[in-house]
Amino acid sequence: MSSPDPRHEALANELRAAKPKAPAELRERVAALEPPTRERWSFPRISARRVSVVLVPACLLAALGAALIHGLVNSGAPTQPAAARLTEAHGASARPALPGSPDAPLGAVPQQFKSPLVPSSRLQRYDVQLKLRVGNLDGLSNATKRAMQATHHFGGYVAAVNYAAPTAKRGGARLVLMVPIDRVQDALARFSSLGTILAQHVSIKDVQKQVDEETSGIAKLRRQISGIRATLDHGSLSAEKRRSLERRLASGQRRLRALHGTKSATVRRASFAQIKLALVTRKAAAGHSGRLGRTFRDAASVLTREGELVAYALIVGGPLLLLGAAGIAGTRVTRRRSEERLLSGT
Amino acid sequence: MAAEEHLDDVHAYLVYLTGDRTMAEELTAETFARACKAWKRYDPRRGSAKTWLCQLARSTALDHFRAEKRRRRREQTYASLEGREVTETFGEGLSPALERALAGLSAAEREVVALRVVLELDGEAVARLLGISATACSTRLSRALQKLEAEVKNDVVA
Repeated sequence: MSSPDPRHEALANELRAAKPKAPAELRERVAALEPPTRERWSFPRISARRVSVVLVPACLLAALGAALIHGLVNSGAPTQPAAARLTEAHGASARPALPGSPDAPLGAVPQQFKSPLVPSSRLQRYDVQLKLRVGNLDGLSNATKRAMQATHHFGGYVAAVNYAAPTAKRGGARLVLMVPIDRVQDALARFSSLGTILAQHVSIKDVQKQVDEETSGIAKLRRQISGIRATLDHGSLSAEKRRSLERRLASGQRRLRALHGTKSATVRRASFAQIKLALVTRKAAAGHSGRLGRTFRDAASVLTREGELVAYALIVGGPLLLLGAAGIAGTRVTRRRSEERLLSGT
Repeated sequence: MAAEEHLDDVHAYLVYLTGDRTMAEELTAETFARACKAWKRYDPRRGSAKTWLCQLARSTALDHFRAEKRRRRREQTYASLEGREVTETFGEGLSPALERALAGLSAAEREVVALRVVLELDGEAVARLLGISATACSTRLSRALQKLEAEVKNDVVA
């Protein structure tokens, strides 16, 4: 090989021609060295690049396989307990459900709404979400009407209705129903008889403490107002002091009215349970009916979970990996500089 | 051992790196002793045996330089390289001017000359061995050769 610059060709040739030769004594010393022993057997040395080329697709395949297997194993016919599982319950009381009314005028109850709703002496705010599947559009229309009739029958009212049938075969209805709290068990038993329960969600929030605070606030304000009135009736007040007390009286009365309104609203709201009823036809709820669809949905959920875990690991481990890489790079640079200094000074 | 074929190369490289024949012989023997122990770690896919041995020789020489530096610091005695008698250190038949010019280079400059010119290793292998970029390696070689040329010319004129 020639030197990179042809101008130095003569110099390079001279250097090559005069290449130092190892003396005979050194040759003997090296020849006398123990020959290198071959290892009996060891794992083949595999480069990190080759490992990553195999490992990354293998991990991806394993993740995909696990997701599909999970999807296949868990995609049997949806069972009622699974579909009607309680997803959330807030509040103080959460005991087993009471059965629905046995003399239901809207027909037999094929499945019971498993809710933690129990009559309580405390003021509580109940919010229930119920999703039902009905057979077809006729069933949807019928169920919507029956739900509204049942609400009126129990002394409640319909707060909102949204009925939609975009095609001739599928549709859905969303109802917001307010039912008196003492009839909510019966109402839910009726509603659950209108179709197959797909999902339910119960939320109970205790508002007794809030009402008690509002009541004590009202009492305190009343005492203050009485005190101001008594002072005003006394008569021996300066004009300025009287005006000041009258302003305070007016302000107190305004706050009293507002507090009464707030308390009434809280009590009124607590006396009714809000039931959000969603009705869907079989086609619209296709995601719940097909085994293949359920398989893919379960697989997708597993993949999402796996993705979350990978993202979490990257977020937690990423900075540590970066620090480690920076440390290694820094050590290499330092070592290289120290070698350069050592050789430059030699 | 196939590596013995490269004895002359390793020895020549160490002569250039250390600028001292006796030291180079000691380090060559040490390098081959290390090579015998580490031979199972040699991977032909990552470079030639010559490159691997030169890397081992470099590491051996650096260890020696570090130990020597520590020893000198302890003893507070610095052997002066000035006024050393010019002998045939870097090769048989080299002109005295070139010998002096080579002795005037730093070890870092001499080693790149040894690897690229004397041992005729390619630029990428040398850059990898030295832990620098190919451009830096080429620049270092060019400067070292220019210095040599200049020193030889000055010496002839003088």
